[in-house]
Amino acid sequence: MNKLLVANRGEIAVRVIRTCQEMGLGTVAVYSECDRNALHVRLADEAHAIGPDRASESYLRIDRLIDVARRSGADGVHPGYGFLAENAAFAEACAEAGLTFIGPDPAAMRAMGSKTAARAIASAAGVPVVPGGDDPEAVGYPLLVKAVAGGGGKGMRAVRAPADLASAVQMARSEAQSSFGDDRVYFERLLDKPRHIEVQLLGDAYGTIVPFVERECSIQRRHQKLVEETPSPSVTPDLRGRLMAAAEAIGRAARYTSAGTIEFLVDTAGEFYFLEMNTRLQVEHPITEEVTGLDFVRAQIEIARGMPIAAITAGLKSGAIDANGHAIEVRVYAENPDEGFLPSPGLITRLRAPSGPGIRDDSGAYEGWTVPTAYDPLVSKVIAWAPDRPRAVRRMVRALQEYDVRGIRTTIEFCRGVVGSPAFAAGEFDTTYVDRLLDQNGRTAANDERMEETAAIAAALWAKMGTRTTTPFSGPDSPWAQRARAESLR
Amino acid sequence: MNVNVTVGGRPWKIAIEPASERPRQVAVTVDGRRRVLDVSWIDADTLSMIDGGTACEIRMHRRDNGVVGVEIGGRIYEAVVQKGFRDPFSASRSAKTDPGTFSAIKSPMPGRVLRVLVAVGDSVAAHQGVVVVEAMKMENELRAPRDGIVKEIVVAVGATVEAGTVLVVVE
Repeated sequence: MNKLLVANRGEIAVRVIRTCQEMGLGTVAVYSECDRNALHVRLADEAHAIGPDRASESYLRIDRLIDVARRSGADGVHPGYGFLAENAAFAEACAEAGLTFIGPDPAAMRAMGSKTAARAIASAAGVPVVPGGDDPEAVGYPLLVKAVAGGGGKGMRAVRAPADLASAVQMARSEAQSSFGDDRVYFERLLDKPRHIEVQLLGDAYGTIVPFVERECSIQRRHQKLVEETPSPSVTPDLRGRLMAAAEAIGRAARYTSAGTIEFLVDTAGEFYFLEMNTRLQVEHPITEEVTGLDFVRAQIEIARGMPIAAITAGLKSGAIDANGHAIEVRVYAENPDEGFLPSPGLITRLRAPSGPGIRDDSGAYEGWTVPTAYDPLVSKVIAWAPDRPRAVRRMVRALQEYDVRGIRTTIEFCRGVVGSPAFAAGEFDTTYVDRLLDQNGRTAANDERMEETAAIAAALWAKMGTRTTTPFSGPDSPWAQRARAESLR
Repeated sequence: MNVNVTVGGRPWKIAIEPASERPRQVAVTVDGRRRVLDVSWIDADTLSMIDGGTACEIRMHRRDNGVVGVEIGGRIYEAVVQKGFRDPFSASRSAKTDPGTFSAIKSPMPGRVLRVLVAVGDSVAAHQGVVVVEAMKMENELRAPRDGIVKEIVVAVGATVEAGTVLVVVE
């Protein structure tokens, strides 16, 4: 494999391109009309247009992607996450075109990608599953409507009473159709205050399955993850051992290869249930990278080339399995928390990402770029690593204070409130935590009159400053500019 | 000179004057308390303020309708500056006051109208879903702000709308 087609956009396309560049692989980007100036197009060696903004006419067009691969001479395809990442027909089309698909075998993808078939495989492997099925009355309320092909919270709706079922099913079907091209749904019992814990797997072509230390993903809003960390503050060594063994058993039963993730719900009694398997690289894979030293995109490529996992993880100080330190990820979405997290696309007028010790910013954005309306609102991911959890928490709060994004609304301030809260510091939260926080009044911190006064002063100075034109050539600290401002105050 | 600003629902009367011949020194009086601040503009929307040795960076977020978000230490405070000073907001985007008995349900973001859940003449309850707008692959159900009767449906299913586009009017 010498040249990889990256069949995706945004931060994950950038993430994949970076590893390819480090491995000396050529990179081929694809873009829809509104993504002509996107960061992944700027970074790749080659870039090809694949159609209009709507994903169904561009990023989901298997024929166009295969055509670009042929024309560019690519010999491998990385699907990222979302779009066609869990589409077995795409993996098969790649194989037929003589392209190496960087991901699992289509058969395993098909089996585990269907939520209902995956549940059957997990049960057969002796792992408990969340009660559910095709009949909402048999499942009982409250329940979840879930897309059979779903992921990332799309095509999913909670229903508390039978009267709300019809509209929830319609919304879930319609979202599932536009996101995955498959509108089938099923029903699952909604557990009381569960925690969402997942186990990353790597499988190679020789039947080796390696589970990694769990990721805690309970900080979510309407099934969209906001903050993830590893290891989980709530998982005991005993539970960890059982979760990893269960994940390994499922991976083995599915004859799984490449990177995949087994998701579990853990109830208040510490019992766990298999939820689903994601047959792709996860959005939150960087936190596992930070505590293991492994590059999962590189591992996927090496596995696709036939390298055994033992060779991939050789030389890692941690031996990959034992987590070294603690890592937290915060997802930065172009959403407005003050308006129910509605999308807030638009021009990014200012952007300065956090840096310094232990901070990583996986972003698809830059200052002057317009976040388009057509796609997922994830703009970037901030990852903080530290030797222990308290230090990682404080490091993340520090990084989010540094993160300067203006022009669009983002979830940065909201997530800083969450990560900086006493409940988060204590590790006392579950999947309902964020929604309960929002019910309280939407604000994560009490009003601070002294800070409000400072804000009022700043707003007054800013408003006053604008009444005189400042010379753009004299720089911020030029005595002439400063004098002009002082004069303007007279 | 005095500037009136509202932050956190509270009005602040702020007097600003130059403090000395030294360029960045500004005297600010709030509630009768006078302080000399060292104010340096990093760029047009970013200021570094030193207040008696206490330093902070302040980031201004330009919003619509006369509101400015003031970010200090990772928190954003919404401020409304009294008209007559700087008006960085184009006139066309300023708040158009609706007659008291009408409520316009506007799209808060650019997107596409997927479904209209009500018809003209329907009575709607506060928080009842009225229109579904798709943006960034998520379906967002927009709700009635209060009880009322649907007076007008301004948009059609499939229409592309901008932020602020009126979708439905409730009387």
